[in-house]
Amino acid sequence: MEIIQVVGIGLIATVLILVVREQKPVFAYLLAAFTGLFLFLFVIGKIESVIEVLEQLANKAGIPSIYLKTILKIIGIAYIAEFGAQIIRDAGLESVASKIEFAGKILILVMAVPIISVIVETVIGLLPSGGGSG
Amino acid sequence: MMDFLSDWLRNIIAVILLAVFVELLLPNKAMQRYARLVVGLFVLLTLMTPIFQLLQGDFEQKLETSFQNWSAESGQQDLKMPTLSEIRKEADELSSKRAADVEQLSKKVLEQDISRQVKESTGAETMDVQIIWKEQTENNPEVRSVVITLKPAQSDADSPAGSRQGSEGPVQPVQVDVNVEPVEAVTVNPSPDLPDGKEDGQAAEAWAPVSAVLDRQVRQLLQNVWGIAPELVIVRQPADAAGNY
Repeated sequence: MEIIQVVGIGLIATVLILVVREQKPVFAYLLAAFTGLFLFLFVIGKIESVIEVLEQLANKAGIPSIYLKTILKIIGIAYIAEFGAQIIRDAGLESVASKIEFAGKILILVMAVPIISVIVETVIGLLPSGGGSG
Repeated sequence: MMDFLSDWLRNIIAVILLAVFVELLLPNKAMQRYARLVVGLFVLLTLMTPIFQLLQGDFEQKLETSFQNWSAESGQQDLKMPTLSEIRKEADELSSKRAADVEQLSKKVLEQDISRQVKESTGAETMDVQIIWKEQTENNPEVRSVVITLKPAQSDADSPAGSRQGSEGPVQPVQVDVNVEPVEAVTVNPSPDLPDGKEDGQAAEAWAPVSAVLDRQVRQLLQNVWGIAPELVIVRQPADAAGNY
């Protein structure tokens, strides 16, 4: 019943933050950030087992390991960027948060480059045999 | 053929399942669009596998090398953010360099000091003072030995054995002991008025022991002033010293 712990931590943190915010907004923000960090690390441990199972399944299904690796990297980038952006958004710095998200998107796109290059190379390699005569 | 088809189908299904799962895992809508692109490319690759394999045998290998190339390249393009270990290594290098510098400097200063002190208190001129540090990694080096080379020209009345007198100049009579080669000392240069008898440098490489009193004086001095144990100190002078003046 870990969800109860998670929700409990969240509720306690919320009450504390509400109390503190009037006097010390900075402490309130720090509290929020650390609660977020704690919950994130708490859940990351669980994700590990999910990833392990995924890897096993992919091996069995014959998915090339490079696919899975890339996909997992993408998920990781997405989560971390999202998490950081949210923490910063808590502080009210929407602009910085959106820049972090932007960086995350770019990094995900970078992941796609090798795949695209392979596809394009292959397609171009296809062309001359068909288009050479024409 | 059937085998190949079933493999292919299984692959497609697996990749699509994976894609769905990834979509579920992704945190927000904004990211989903980008991730979907990559996953879509994977699905495309899987669908095209037969064509690829028909045209060029080992396309998975190719994909792998492409990934590796890319990651190597992008690794080079990355901002050269030094890692913690690199910083540590650099710091170690710097501090060891600084320690060496300090050692060098303190050695120089100490050598000059010893030379000056020896001259002041015993009147013997030193030609060269050499301090040899004990090799150790800590910051405070220990003296392993001090080699003091005395200038041959010295007035030392109480050299015990084989002493002879050479006149250095018009003013100073010089006495240097030469008990390295007593025979030659006696035969070649017995009289004080023939100072240059040993100029041929027969014993140029050798070191003659210094008179016991001076030796003891220097050792005592070093121990008193710098706390260097007497047994670490070597006092010597060139053996052909006598002949030079």
